[in-house]
Amino acid sequence: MPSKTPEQSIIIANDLRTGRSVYLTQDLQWSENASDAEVVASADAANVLDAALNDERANLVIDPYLVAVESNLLATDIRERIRVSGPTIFNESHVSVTKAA
Amino acid sequence: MYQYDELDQSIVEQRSAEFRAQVERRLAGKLSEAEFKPLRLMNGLYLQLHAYMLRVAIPYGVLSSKQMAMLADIADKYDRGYGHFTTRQNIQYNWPKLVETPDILDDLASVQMHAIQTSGNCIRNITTDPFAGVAADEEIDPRPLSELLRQWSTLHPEFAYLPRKFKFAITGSAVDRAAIKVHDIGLRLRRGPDGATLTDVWVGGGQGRTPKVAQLFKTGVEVADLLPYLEAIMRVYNRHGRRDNKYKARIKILLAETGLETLQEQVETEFQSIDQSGFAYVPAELTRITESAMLPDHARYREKYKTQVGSVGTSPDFEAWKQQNVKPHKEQGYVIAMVSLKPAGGIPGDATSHQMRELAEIAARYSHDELRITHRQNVVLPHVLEKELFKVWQSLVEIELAEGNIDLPSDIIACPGLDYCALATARSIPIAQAVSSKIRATEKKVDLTGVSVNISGCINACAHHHVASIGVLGLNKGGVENYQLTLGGRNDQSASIGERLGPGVSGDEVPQAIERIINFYVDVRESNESLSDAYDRVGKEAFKEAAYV
Repeated sequence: MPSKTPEQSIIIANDLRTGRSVYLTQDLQWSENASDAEVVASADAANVLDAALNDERANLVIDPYLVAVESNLLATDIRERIRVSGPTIFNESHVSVTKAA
Repeated sequence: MYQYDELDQSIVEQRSAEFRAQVERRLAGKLSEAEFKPLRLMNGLYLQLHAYMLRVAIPYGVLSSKQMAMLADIADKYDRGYGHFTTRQNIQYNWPKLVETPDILDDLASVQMHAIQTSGNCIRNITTDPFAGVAADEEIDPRPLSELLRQWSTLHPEFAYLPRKFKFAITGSAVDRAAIKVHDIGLRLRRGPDGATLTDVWVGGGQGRTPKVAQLFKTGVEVADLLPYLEAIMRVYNRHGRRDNKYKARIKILLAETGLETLQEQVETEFQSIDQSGFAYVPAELTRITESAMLPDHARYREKYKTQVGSVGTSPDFEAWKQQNVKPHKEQGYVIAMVSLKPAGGIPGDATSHQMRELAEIAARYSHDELRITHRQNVVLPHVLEKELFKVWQSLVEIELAEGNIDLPSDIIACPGLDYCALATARSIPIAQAVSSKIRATEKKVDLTGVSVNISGCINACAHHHVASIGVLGLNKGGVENYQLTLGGRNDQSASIGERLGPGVSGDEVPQAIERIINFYVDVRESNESLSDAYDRVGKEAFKEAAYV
């Protein structure tokens, strides 16, 4: 987690049961869809993160943290960008062979 | 191949039941994540960038057709239809759910498989020569001792919480295909003057942020003394290994800080103190393992099929594949057929469920029901009648696994990198895809056998970049992926650590840089000279000048 609170961020975690990356939404639910994520201003970040940490204590999610994003919801850090958008190499070769089957 | 006895089977079944109960307690909130994490890691379950990742053990890389078919079924039933074979001869699934993992472990146990000790600070999967038992140049089949080591190290109560993970590799050939000198302990089996098996023990090899080539620690250990001697090494390491700093916790650091002679003395003292009667079972157990159908009766099958017409076809593509992917077998009429999981532009080590299922079928039909996984992330069909080779190749063509590039630069080792791994600092798979796409055409025209390209996505070096002819290490420099090149590494009996060539380059520049290095090597090489030998002779500056424009 970055030490300085970013100007705007989203909160990401892993769902305990599935392990999938999930995003905290405006109504404090968790969604696997990054576009559902609430964009949090730096002034609100601590409070919203607290809510997320409550869900960690309630065994809903693992390791929630703030991810800095730009206006288009794109994470500024490459690691987080890949985490949000998924593997950059998604398996075309797999698909072609599966189809061949 | 080795078949579980009742004890083996009960261990994996009980372990699976135990993990199911642990998962239930975690979901019920009776275990915190901090309490649960070491338990799931002991069962190979990591939490990665996008999801959990389950690493399944393939002891010394040997699989039956039935097991490979189960791996395919698991990929379909619980994951996304593919798996990733690793440099520890294991397989990883990238998308399993915690709630379904106990079911996966049950399915694995039903075919004598598990995920025990594929993570954590314990003795990891024992690896060996993928040609073990069938290589034409082999002195001693290392699989019986590999199995003995598997049994000894599985749930060994003293070694469940070591200072750090611990890796063994074992070979019985002068040509080292198991990279034993870059393991915590490497074992080289050889014949003594009276024909008995002796073991030379190498200690302190490893990669990661402090790469080291192992040192010869003890020569000529007799079979009866091997387990107590290894136990003595493990005890000394367990006692003195650096638990205060995980980056200095491997035995290679203990060896460097203690000194070879002192550590040898400590181990010898420990060895002498061990009550050897505890190992009295070893000769009988080794006999039981060896007699448990470790190898098929080649002669019987050769006789059975001697009137069979066999392969009548040929083609230039088949001949090119055969030239590169087929290796000599110790039995007349047989060959070892290697299946590359490195199609040009593909993802190194990945196989779809369809491919895995078909490989299982091909092995059942043509390879006595057996497959091997290599530490270079490929598959081996170890018992193919030469007369059936063309049919094997045709079957591989149908599932897009007939790339004839074994031991060529496009036979790239790559870790999952930043596309999946929580530890990674840069992507490795897209770089591998770009490099293999670029270099494949060249290697079809020029013999580049033995030029290895290994690409790691972080300093942990899971893709063994230190011991490649051309190593690539992905780092994050100011938020941008940056790739260091190393040259001159070797992972065989002449193991050496590659040398950093110069400043890092961007991901886009890696394929061109590698192509320039290879072109320069082709220009300067002397007959049969490897790239690393040419590098040692010509020197870093000349290669650096060629690599950087």
